[in-house]
Amino acid sequence: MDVLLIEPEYYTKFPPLGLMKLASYHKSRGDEVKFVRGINYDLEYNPDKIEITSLFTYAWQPVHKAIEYYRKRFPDAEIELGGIYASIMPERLKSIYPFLHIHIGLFDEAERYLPNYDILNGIKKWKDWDSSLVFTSRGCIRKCPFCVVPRLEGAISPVLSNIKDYIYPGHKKIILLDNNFLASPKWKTILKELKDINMPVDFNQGLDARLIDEEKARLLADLKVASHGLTFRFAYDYLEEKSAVSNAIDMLSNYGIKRRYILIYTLYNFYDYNKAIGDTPETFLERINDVLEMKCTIYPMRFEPLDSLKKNQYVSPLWTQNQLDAIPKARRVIGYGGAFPPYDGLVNKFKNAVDFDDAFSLRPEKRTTFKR
Amino acid sequence: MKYNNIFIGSRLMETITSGLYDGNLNCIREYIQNSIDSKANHIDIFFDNGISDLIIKDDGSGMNKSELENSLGIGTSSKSDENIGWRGIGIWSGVPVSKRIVIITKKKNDKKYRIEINNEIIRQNNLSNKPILDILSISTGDIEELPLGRKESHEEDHFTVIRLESILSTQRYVFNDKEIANYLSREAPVPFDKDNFSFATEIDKWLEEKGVSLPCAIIRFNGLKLYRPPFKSNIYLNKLIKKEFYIKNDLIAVGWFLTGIANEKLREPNCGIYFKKNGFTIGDANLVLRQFSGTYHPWQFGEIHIISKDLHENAARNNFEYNNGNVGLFLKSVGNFIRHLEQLNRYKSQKTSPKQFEKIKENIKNKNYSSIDKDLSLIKERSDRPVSFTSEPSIQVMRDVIDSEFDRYQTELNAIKDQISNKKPNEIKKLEINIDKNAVVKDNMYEFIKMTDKPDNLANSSRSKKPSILLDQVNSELFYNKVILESLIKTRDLLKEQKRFDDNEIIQFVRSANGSEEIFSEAKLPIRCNTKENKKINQNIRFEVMVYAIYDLFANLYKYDILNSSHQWLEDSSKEEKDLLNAEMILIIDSLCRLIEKFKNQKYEVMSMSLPKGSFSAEVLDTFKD
Repeated sequence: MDVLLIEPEYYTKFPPLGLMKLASYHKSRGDEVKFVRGINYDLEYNPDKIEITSLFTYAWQPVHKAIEYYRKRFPDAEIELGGIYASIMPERLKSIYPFLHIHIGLFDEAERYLPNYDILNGIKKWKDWDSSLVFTSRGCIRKCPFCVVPRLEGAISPVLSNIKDYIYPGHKKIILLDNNFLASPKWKTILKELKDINMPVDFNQGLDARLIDEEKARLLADLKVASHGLTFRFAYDYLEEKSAVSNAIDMLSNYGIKRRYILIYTLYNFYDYNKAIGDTPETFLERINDVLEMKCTIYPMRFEPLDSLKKNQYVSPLWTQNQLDAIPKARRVIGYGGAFPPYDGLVNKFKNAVDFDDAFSLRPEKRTTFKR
Repeated sequence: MKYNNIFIGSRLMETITSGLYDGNLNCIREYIQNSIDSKANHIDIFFDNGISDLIIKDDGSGMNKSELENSLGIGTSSKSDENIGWRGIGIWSGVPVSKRIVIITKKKNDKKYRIEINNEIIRQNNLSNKPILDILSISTGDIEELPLGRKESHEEDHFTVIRLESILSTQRYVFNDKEIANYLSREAPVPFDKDNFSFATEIDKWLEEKGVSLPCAIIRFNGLKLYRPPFKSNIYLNKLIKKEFYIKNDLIAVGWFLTGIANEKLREPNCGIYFKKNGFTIGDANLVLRQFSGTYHPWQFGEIHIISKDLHENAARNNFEYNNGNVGLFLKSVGNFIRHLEQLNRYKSQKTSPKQFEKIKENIKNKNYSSIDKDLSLIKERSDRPVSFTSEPSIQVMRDVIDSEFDRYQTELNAIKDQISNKKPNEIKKLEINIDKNAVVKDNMYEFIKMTDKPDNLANSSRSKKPSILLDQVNSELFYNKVILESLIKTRDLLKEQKRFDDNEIIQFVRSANGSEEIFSEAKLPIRCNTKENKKINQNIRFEVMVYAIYDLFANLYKYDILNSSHQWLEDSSKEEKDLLNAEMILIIDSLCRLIEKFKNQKYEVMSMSLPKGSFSAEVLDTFKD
């Protein structure tokens, strides 16, 4: 069989891991595989089957464009769509494209394969990719209401017993994509293996601060960390997590990790309709001040509903549009690289503010006139 | 006693997988053997996903469902000893090296089937003592039918694909492009590269005549057709040794051998003697040597092809199976033959001395006659020593080759002797002295430069009160001679060539540079470092001229070999002239060094102003800075 794998042309920082595993899966079945990103008018191929992936729901347009183009181009080929958008909104897709086969959730049979990095070679965007992408576990022990993982992947389960065999020879970095690495039953063996491999490693999805203990902190601090000025990432989404977060940071700091290089994600604009609770601008500010007191760097994360079709449209009942708008503006003006590092001016501004609006108010922008 | 499943444990699996194939590439050979047994014409071996997956793909007959099932039996095989593989264990050989073995196969007019073996389960249970059947059942998937794509044909397509998926990171030191290419060219039944190995046709023809069956499948690795060594012809003497090995009048093996020209160990991969059966190598070059107890110099390349069906290789294919009485006899005769080869080597090394001859020729070319006599007598002494030639009939062909080499050397030797004796003894001697003397001149000069005064002192003294002894000599008539003049003439030519000056322009240029109209007048000093009419600016410009002169002088003197013919004038000079020359060169360098030092701080401003664009003064100065 001849299979065509398509990554729609949406914005993304990572190559399509799912398609890369599918490439290995198909090759293992003797199929010919061709991979393209977006619309390729010059494609010389006559596929028996087309498999398209998708990402966030709000990035649906490039997906639709791909479906329409390739359907028209290869009317005889079966088209299957997978990925996050397909898993969350299958009905919407089915109603627009009745011919479409939709795959929901993970494709377990492809999970054990090493992603096929060779298929990236022909793609301009990915040809210089030099990091091995690894899930050592899938799923998560938590069931955070704002998160898609429990819905798509379920409870935590280890998928690999070692990492070495999943590193593509010649790659320079390991990116671990585990949703909750420290909750995986294999965390210890894998941390030790990572230490042995001695390649820069990036816990891309962040670590669960509530699970950090002395042993984990010691092993983590011992690793070579792949960072752009950052080492580890945690989340501080509810005020109740304060002591856990501060504990985790203290322990890592004791093992020599610099506090300002620890990044703390802070969620905002989330409202749980079942329990009728959610964060407010004031609790958000409180968390920010907590993190700044811990001398770490903050990365505000705006909640986006799982099925939003346009980004940044949703406003929680506890927030106003103006308040939401103030945050990205502040990130641009007084932040650094979209984050709030704990520098004095920023710390004082937030600490001395009477409320959220005061904290995020910025001086009116200066009007600059340009002379020729 | 009646056996049941419990008695046959998993460790048997360990024995036929890790025991035979761990840490080596022999599993690839197992799959190639299967491909050849299935009458494949093309076998393609290639990596996918970096070096993660190794694929062995053939266009053999393929398997139907029951054949595929049977192929996964252990120790049973439908193959006869006509085939290469016959033990029925080959399919499991990939277990120690990868995570999965996948077989995809199709026969004409049949479906496409796939089966997958999970090696990890087998490896994890290898030492568990669990019944082998239980482990095999959980590690081996069910045979599944694969759908055919539009391009595929139910009627026509036939193939088998073996995929060793996710080669373990611990195996990458052998499972990489270079190691596998080397391994396959050494072990697999691949042809000679006729373009680079001129004996190929003769050998192929002879092997065919003697009934050696070689598979004719084309084997490629990563898309490139594979050839077996040797990959060169010009390192061997131009004659093949052909040997037939008989036991009780039965021809059981044939061998061919080439002898290296040089009297030294040949380099891999063009060295060694290999046993071959059906084109595959049994063991390695050491297997042959093991049959021979004496000293052996691996100066040969050769192959011994087994024809007899009675001689079997062992399961790991690194040796023979010794349960056949003929094996012992055969290996003994191989050992004997190697003894004869060794005698041939000894004979050759006494009669021919290619290395020494090269050395002598080189020396003559360089006019270095000092050691030639010694080398010649060494060669002669060696070749005069009595040495007997081996009695082995198949090797007799080499005697003529070596003897004619010997004759050729003798002729050349005589020619060299004539050449040398024609030269007068004192001439040879004189040449040697010259070499020494030139070296001394050079050393003296460098020594002198080190000794000379600091330029600051000189800058003060050079003009007036205390001229150094050497600068006094500059003013003396001794300074003028052919050398300086010649170098200036060369400078003139250089100016003509580089700046395209005509004669008038040169005179004009040099006149202004020197502050004198009579630069080419033989009666005057061409370079005046300490004259009354010196003005600062003129001194600097003259410096340029001097740089040209010196540059030319030295570039020619030391750029090439000392005895270059262009310096015949130096050879022809008398002792006095040479002493003079010596002193003059010292003087020039001395002055030059001082001037360079002196004008260093002025950054050549004056010069660059006064010289036309494109002057190579800076380049020349750089040459002298060191």
